Amino acid sequence: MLRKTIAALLLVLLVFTTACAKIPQQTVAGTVKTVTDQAGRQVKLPDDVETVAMMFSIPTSLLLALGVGDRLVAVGATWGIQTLIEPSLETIGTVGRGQLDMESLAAYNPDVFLHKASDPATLEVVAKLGIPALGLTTESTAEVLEAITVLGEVFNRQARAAELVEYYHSKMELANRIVAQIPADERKTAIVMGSEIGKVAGGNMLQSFMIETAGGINCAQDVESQQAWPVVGTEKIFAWNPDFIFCTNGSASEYEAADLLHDPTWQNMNAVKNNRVLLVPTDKDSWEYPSLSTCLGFLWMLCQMYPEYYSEADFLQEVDLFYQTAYGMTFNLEFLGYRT
Amino acid sequence: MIYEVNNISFAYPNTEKLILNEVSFSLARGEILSILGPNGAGKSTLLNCLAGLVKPTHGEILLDGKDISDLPGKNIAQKIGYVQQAHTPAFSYSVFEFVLMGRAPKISFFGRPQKKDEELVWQTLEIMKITHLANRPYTQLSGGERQQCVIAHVLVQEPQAILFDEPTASLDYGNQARILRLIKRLSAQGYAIIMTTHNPDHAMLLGGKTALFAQAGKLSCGKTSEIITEESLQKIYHTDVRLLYVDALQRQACLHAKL
Amino acid sequence: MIIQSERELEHKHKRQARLINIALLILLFTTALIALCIGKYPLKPLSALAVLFGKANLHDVMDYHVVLGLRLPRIIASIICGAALASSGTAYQGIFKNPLVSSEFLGVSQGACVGAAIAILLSASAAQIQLFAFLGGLLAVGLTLLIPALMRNNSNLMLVLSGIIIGGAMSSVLGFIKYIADPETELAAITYWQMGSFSYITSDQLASVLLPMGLASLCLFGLSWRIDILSLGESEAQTLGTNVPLVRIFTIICATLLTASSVSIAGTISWVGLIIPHFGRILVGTGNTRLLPTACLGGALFLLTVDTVTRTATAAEMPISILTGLIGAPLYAWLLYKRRMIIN
Repeated sequence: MLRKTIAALLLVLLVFTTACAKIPQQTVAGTVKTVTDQAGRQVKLPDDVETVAMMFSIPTSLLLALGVGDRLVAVGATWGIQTLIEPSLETIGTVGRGQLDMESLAAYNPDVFLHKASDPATLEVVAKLGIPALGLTTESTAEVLEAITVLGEVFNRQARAAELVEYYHSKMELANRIVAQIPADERKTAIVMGSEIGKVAGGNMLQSFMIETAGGINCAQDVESQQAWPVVGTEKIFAWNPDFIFCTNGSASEYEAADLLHDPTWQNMNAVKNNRVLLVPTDKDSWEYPSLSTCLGFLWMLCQMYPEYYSEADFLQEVDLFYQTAYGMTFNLEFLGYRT
Repeated sequence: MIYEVNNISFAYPNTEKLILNEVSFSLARGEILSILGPNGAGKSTLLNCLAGLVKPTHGEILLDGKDISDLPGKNIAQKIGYVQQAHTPAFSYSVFEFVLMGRAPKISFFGRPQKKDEELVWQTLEIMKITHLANRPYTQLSGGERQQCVIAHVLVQEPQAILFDEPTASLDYGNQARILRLIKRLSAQGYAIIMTTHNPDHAMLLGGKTALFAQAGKLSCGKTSEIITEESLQKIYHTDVRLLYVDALQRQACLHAKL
Repeated sequence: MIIQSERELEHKHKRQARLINIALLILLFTTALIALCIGKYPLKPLSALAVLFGKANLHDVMDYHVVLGLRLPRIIASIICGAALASSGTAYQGIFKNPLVSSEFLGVSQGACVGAAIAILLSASAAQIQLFAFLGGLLAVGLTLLIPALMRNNSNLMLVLSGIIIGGAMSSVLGFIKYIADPETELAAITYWQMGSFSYITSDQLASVLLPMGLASLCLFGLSWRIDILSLGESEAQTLGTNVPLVRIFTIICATLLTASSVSIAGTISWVGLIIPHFGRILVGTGNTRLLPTACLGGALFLLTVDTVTRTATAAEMPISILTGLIGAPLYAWLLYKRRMIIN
């Protein structure tokens, strides 16, 4: 009797499991286009993508720059200038933080779901739900620019995307022209330190690219790690003795730049001695977070390290220009939290 | 003969000391063998050999004419019941469930007890007069009740021989007598009984055969009245023991002479 | 007179156990249907049922996706994982005659994670990953048994301590594997596998574990009475003609297979395997022939309920282990208090 019950139960479960597989195929209304995402997947999308949901926050600024911020229906988190650029973000929903809430996502039923390309499992699960899932990766500047191009295709904003990429390249060229004038023996060494003392940006990270574009030498250039923000430890930093320490501006940082400046054990460091432990601006829009704003980041580093070649006044003109170009509006420096 | 034990010796691996040294005896159905010996003499080891739990180093034990070391555990268990010293199980099975587990040797690997097995348990409980305990948790019984349950548990095995390891240990005076009476009755019913005990008087009450552990694992075996003598007891227990004929009881009794 | 009533009492217990199982089964089905009807996706309960029975119109495809693609697999997954964890816990407790153990306290779950992580490093297929998880679990429980054997100490506490040692060691090994793994591909896969979650469950995953789980639980049910006998103690079981090593190994294999399969779909979920068997004993008594089905159904009901709460109660879904821990730990403390006499 018992065994029969168990066998019957198993049968019921099997039938239900096969039922799961028998979902009618989604018929995408209207014309369809295919976009290759940064995970190398072919994603079928409606021609007109009108709603976007995502769990992470990196693409928000890119969507705002493309002028499609109003199409977001759910994001992980928003901050700073984003809600000023697109007021609807103030009350926007979420599809989970850290772990995707599938039913909320189904309830939004967006035209596209944007997600990290490094998490193919989630992309696949969402695709199974009948929601096109697009993988993005933004670990380097090249990837950020590529992401803009891909998103331009998704939203039929190819021209705008090209314009933004062009602008970014022009700022890189500006930096390159200035750096070319700096003799090799005047080059400064620097590191970008992460959310904990001892964590640095390795050679393969976006922040390392920023130091190099600004004409600096990243001491941690040769740190090969598969992890983001590898831990090298305080001793290694002492051994490098960099001229500049740039600290990330994340609110999650467990220390403040001032702590280092007043820590007696750090007093012999070049960067500390010369008061060159600096927080990368700014409070309202991070200049070292994967986004277009990194062009302000490297130009700022340039004017900090080589004021005789590129003055702060020159740099500050670029700030308004950038925000005008990217978002069609400007913010005053005080509001951004820029410290002169 | 249900048991024929021929010259078995036993030593623990990597030790010289023989716990059992060329022990021989035989036992037929309906016979009782009491094993006496000081602490650590090897009584339990002998029982474990007889139950097939450990293998003698030398010699052979024939069970119904077959070498016990060639028999699968299941076949041994169908012939021999073993009442080990009291233990407390980790889980509180009911007495009925516990007794029913005695049917294990008769049931296949993936099987479970059927109606007829349960019926046998009820009958056995009735014969043992412990039906009233059937639904009590086994862990909450008194020592005497528990011993009765263990015996019922062994009886449903339907063995031919039953081994008892100190069945009267940790029982009160009345329960000791009750268990001995039960053992005697079982032997009258045709079970071959082998029992270890610390009390020579118990062996004398039961009659039958007695085996005495002398020095160094040697066993002397024979009729109880011939084996249990004042000299032999004094030799193994190193204390002054008297065997007296008590007129009122019309039997010999074993008593301490003095302290 | 007494004879009759004792028999009747025994029969009554048996009948009660059956009634309890039937009640649990009905409760489980009802809960499953309710769970199918609720969720964050706005869908009328009746439409959910209509979709399930194929009576809904094909107008809104998303309804189908939510009911058949999200809720149903998830409900089935929590049911089979709950059943698997509870029955493996019951089996481990039985053969080790130790009411204080379960798969996560014997290091089995952690071992399964290590096995799976190694398979991922070797870029193995999904089926191979599952096999490695199973082997890792077996290895862990083997090591856990080795320590008390080496120390010649058979106490309940020793086994529990040994489980903690092996579980801790396995966690460290897992940490090391994650450290050396490629963060882009392997680390993500390992973390995904280890964390597990009912929220990403797919019907393919379900189909891949249903067969091993079904076979293993059928074997355990077949062995349930032998497990009773083993729980009396090794030499006692031996004198009853039971092949102790064979039953033990067979049971360990089945229980480990159940645990590893469950870990492979939902990650490590603690407490279910430990507390559900105890509740089963309160309901239907100690005998495993009655206890195993009850534990199975109880575990399924418990995990289904907890998962339904986690997916509907809060805006951002919380990991299921938080809730099982919050419920399990105090319940276990209460059980220890209630049953302290018996454990002594």
